[in-house]
Amino acid sequence: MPKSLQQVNSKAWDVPVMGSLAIVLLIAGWFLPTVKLSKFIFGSDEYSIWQSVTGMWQSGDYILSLIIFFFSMIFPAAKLGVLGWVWLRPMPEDTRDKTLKWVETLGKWSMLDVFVVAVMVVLVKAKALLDAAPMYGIYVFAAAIVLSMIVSWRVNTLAKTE
Amino acid sequence: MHGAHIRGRGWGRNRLCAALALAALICYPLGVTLPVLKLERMGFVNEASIWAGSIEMLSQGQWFVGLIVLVCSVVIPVLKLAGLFVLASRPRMIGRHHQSRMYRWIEIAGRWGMIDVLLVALLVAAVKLGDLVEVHAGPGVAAFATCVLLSLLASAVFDPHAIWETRDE
Repeated sequence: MPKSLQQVNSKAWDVPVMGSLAIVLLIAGWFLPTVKLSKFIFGSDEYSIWQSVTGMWQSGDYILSLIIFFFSMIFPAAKLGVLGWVWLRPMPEDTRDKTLKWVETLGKWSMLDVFVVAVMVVLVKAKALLDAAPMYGIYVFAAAIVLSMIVSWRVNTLAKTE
Repeated sequence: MHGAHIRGRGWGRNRLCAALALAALICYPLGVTLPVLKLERMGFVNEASIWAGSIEMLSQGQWFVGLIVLVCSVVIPVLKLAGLFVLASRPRMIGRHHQSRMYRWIEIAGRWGMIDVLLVALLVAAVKLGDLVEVHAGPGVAAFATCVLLSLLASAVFDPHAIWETRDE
């Protein structure tokens, strides 16, 4: 009977701690405002990731709405879910290696929304009567993604040294 | 002619990889320093390039986001392309032990290099802002997109086994 990674590395407490923290930050990051657009005449609006998904869907940008939905919500959640499964469930080594590799290639796309906010903030300047500023939600979200990249790197190294 | 024969199939692939990586490295400075998006609103025009944009974020005090953009879309991709170029064209310049270490680093860099993500982000940001202002593509977009494509192809074509094969000649 093969052992799970968690059983073999019972002292690696950082993996479950960082993993759970990443889940909390990720869920918070979906609903906290990530960017604030101020129009000097019409006041200002704050957008969260969830709001930009629903907003773009309502305004007919279906493809972009789906891109953000998959890259910022489905992918990172699936990645953490798969990592938890790999960590807790005993499985043959090659299945584990394949799963981890797959998780790694998709991981970076979760950073998309951070780049979108960065591009908006740089491009929009006060002199054009429109101002964009990053809000704390983007830090929470980016921290969740960076943290889950570190967790998957840790799980990968532990799986290889086993 | 004979030399090419001995070196085998992997070497042909790695020559192609080196050429692609070099072409990407040549496109890269253009794609990063030329403006990629141009915004117009009520007569005001604002252009931004990737390099100037990430420096601006840092100078505004946006350390976290600015560093992510700078490291993942400028520093790592350039290092990765340079490493790929050296490994694919001049593997003998570095010792055998360093070759495998370098390859591992390139693999890790691939996960954190995000120029392809940035390209999609440019599109999403342009459409999002498009409701409020006029957004146009700048001259840098073509160079940047070419660089993304070349760099994806270079990593796809690269054959790591060929590096070790050359040792047995």
